[in-house]
Amino acid sequence: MDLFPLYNSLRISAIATVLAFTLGILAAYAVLKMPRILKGICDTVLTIPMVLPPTVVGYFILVYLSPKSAVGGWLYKWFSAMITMRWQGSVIAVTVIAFPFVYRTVRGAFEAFDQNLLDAGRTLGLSEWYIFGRILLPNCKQGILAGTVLAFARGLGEYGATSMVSGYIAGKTATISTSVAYFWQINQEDAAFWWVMVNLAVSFVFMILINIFSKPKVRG
Amino acid sequence: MLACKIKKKLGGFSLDVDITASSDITALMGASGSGKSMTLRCIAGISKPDEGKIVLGGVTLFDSEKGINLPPQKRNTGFLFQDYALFPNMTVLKNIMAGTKISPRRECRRAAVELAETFHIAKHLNKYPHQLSGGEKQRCALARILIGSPDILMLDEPFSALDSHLRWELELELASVMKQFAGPVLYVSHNRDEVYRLCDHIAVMNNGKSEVTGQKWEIFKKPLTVGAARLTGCKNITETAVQHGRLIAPGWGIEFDCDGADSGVQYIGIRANYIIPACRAPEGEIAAAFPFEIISEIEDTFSNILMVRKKGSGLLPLRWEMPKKDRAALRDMPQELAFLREHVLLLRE
Repeated sequence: MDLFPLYNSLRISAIATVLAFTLGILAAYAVLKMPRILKGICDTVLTIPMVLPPTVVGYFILVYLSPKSAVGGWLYKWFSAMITMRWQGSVIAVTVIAFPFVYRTVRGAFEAFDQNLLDAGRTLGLSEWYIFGRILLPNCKQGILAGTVLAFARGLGEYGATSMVSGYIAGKTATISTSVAYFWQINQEDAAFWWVMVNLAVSFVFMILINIFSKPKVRG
Repeated sequence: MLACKIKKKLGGFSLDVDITASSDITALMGASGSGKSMTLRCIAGISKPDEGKIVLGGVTLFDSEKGINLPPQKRNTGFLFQDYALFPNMTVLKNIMAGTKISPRRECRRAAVELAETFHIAKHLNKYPHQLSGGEKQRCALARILIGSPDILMLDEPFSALDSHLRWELELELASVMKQFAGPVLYVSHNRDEVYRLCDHIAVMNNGKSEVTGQKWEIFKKPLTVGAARLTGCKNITETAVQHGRLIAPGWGIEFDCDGADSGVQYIGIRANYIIPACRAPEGEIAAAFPFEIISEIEDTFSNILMVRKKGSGLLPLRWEMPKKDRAALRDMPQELAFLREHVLLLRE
């Protein structure tokens, strides 16, 4: 059995998680400092991918990044880079889908954090970057970890946006979730069943890992 | 030397502060919600006033007219937060080291260890804040502030997070830290005894306004405003009026024989432990004397509290307080109670 879809899924989800992690934390920090009304607007926009059907996200990516579109055409012309029907396109799709999971959990952790500690840092003369990196982030570790795990899990199972943007090309864009659908559609029920089992196994291992890592630890 | 004259609106609350502090200890005294902490935050630069000017040691920290607003990092203020605000992810040593930019790091570490020894927390250097007692946390926070040699020390209710039996020892320690500190010290509190013991000057805050400022003994002797009188512990305060050129307190049914009828006084006050039997009052110093009846008596830890009012009047009660041994000696109740002129507080809103 060709294990490429498993490898591809892990690769896509891992890269997308790194991107969503970085962007989500930065966005949460930016929103934290905004005045109230702007905060509400930005919060809505940044959370929308979570409530939209993934196919709608896929639609927007196709509209704006396909070689026929302005941005996609420019990328193709100057870098010969094509996003659609490539695994790289899936990375973008999964990043968009996974982003709100990091953003929302991290924002929650930031807001629950005692703002006095940030102010204390400022009166002590510590730079904003030091306060962000050495005080805020380490003390919100739990929330950031939870958001990242959610994003990775959501990314692994992503189907709708991925299949629209990258389709199913064996050995190129196939993922575990698109493989299940593909093999079922062409009546290879054994193969479909095999990938269902892979899905279950991955999810199972993942849940065990989450439980191991989220055990409350005594600090110090 | 600190000069702070600022205004700030916050929802329905408005802050209007005008205080100066020299190189001694000034208490910002007020009930909770009176704007004491907000004033400190404005001076530290973590809240921004709408208008005004803050000058510390010749440096303008904030000036709305000139558009100056130094970030908190550049103000060099030492701010002790109510809950001490230690960084939970850092050890005591790292917390103290965070307060300074001394380099190289070896020097920084040496300075931190030295301060930790002064504050008797050297044996806790590798512990995290959650492993410390309340007193140790406070000492650690003080060390973290002082290592940066701030130009001003601002303490926001430093004992509110501690059990009362821990306070006394720490208060003595804090008193010596404040005395040794070269610059101005602002001490926020609502506890009159604490303020009297620790501070030289008092600025009374009421509803966001700094009402009266002065030497502490001055404020306690002549509080001038109702707010200041209440904060310094005056329990008997009532509205006053002028009748035939004399002050009267209709609420108590008492007429006063003292100056001040033409001073625009609105309220009159008498401290609970300054009420005396009329027979013991020196002739010629009595401001008012009246027959009385006892409504109730309450036994306190070290004193007795008698609620009394003018006999047969049915008016508002006065609180009369005396040490227990005085109460025991007072077997036969006197006929009349009296206030001395020097004890009558003439107050305005």
